[in-house]
Amino acid sequence: MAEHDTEGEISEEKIEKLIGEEKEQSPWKDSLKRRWYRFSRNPLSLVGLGIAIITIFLAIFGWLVVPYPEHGGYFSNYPDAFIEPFRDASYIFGTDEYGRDVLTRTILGFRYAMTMVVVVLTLVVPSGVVVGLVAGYHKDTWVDTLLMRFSDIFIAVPPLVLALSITAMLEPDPLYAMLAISLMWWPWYARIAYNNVSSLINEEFVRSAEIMGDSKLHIMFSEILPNCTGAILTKATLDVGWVIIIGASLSFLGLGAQAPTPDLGTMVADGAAWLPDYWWPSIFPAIAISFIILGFNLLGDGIQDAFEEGSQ
Amino acid sequence: MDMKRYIGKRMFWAIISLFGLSIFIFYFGRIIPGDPIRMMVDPRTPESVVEELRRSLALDRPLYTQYFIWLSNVFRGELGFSIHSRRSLTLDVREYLPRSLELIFYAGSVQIVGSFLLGVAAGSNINKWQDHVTRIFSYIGVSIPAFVFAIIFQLVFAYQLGVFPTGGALSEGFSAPGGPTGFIALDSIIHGRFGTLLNFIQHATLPAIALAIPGMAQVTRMIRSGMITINQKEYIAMSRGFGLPEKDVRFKYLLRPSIIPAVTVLGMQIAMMLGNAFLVEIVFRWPGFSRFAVNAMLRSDLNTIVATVLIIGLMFAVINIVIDVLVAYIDPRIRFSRR
Repeated sequence: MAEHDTEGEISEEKIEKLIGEEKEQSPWKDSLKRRWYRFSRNPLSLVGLGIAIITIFLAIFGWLVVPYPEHGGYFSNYPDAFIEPFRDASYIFGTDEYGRDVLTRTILGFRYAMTMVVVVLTLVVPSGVVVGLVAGYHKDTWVDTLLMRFSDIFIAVPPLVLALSITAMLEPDPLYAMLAISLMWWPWYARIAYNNVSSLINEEFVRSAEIMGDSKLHIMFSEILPNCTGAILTKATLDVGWVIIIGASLSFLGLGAQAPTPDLGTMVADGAAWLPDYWWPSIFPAIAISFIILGFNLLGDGIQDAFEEGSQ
Repeated sequence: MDMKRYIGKRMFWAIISLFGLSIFIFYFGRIIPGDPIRMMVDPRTPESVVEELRRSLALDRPLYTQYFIWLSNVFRGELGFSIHSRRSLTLDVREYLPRSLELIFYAGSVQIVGSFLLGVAAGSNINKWQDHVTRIFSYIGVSIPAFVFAIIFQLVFAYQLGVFPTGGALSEGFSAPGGPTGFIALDSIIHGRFGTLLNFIQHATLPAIALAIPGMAQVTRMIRSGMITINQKEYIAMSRGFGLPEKDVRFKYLLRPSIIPAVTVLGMQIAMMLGNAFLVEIVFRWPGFSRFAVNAMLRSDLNTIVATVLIIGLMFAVINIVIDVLVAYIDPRIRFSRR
């Protein structure tokens, strides 16, 4: 770290200066800067960040920017039904079978997609991480076996199948869809936390905390957890896309949000009934779904780059 | 042998998971409000008949008794009665499951061939046009859900261009050959009806590609990054420096270790098709098990839901174990290590 002087010895002043510089720049701020550099090096990560910001903005303020907010609910204007896109300046994406503006409904759909993401991830990330932390810290004991084998039950089938089955047994409702998705999603976070923790429990900083007599809770949450943040954050960002796909799939099959809610998956399914003559009520929401997923995938890759190399 | 013990352990835990899953789904289906008998019968049926039926189906017994009755039936190959099809589920499974398996087999083959071709093309030509095209393909493939691919393919190739049929498994005028295996493709070959086979393949092509693409995108990326990593190893530089033919270096020493992580992901992606098939079969009106299951689920047909989860869970477990064995076979580090 310390540079050697040409004379071969380091003056005390210089040492103090070095220590002072290190104190001024907090390590957290420094690593954040380095991570931002690694992240922003790849233009695709910045595109992803841009799409994510647009998506979140539209999810929150969408109803303020759309041309016809009333088209989000029960609304019909049959004379204007099935106007082709790019023909009429007032309906750029065309209109659906009720004469509702497809652009308006697509933008309003961002809110439902992001609500699902926020609900699912806030339920899933903490619960999965806690299970994985506890199991990983007690590796090769009965706690580990019990927790991890229990979590295996929910990933013994593809996520869509279990979410579909559970939602089908209940009333079709977006809330149930979110709960069903959460139920089969937490084990993945348990696994990530588990794998990270079990590679960390023999590290010196954990050992020394144990010798210092720190409590198990302190070791798990204050010593080990901060070292798993990168992996968890990456997974969560990439999962935004997966949650949207699963949510849209459930809606597409009629088990998520119900008409007239402007949900992207429901819109694709309803619009698909009018194929091939009227393609726009289904294709534009489908493009919107892919746009959001693409954005968060690019962002996730960028975060992964930032953390993977930054930690080395 | 260690490998055998490892597989045995995997199978043991897979079975335990399936039991856990069956208990969870069975109980969940029965604690939610709703009377399965009332859903089965005509609303005007007198109460005495309903009670009789309830007793004969053991639905008046405690839940754990019901579970064990159901479980012993499953072991005898009797999956229960479907409200949706109004017959034994075992018959439905026998009729529809082969259709889905054929589709997944086709899609899996497309995925394996496609991802290897693209992955190797990109991995051998880093930062050339092959690499850029593959990267764009990967991002598109990962970002677009399978059902959107299905709709777009149907719209473009079936409705607009008319090069493929819009849905179903066989055109009018063709009938399933009906034969020893229950698989249309195999039976047509056995009976020598190649016209039927061709027609069937035409119908299956669009859904198979729609199913294959999302996973293909991921596997392609894995192979590419695997090749980059291995290419930097010293032994590759050494073999090149040794003057070994480039072909040998690339296919013997570079490719094999770099596809190992991809094989694991490939297996997971093929297993995930069991889920995506639900959407693709609906779009293409494919007469498979997933489409049957979705229609039954929309009518809250409990027996079908439980049976579907278990059948798919079983296939999921089998695919995952097969992949583990396959990886161990390719990767000597696993084959010879003590687990």
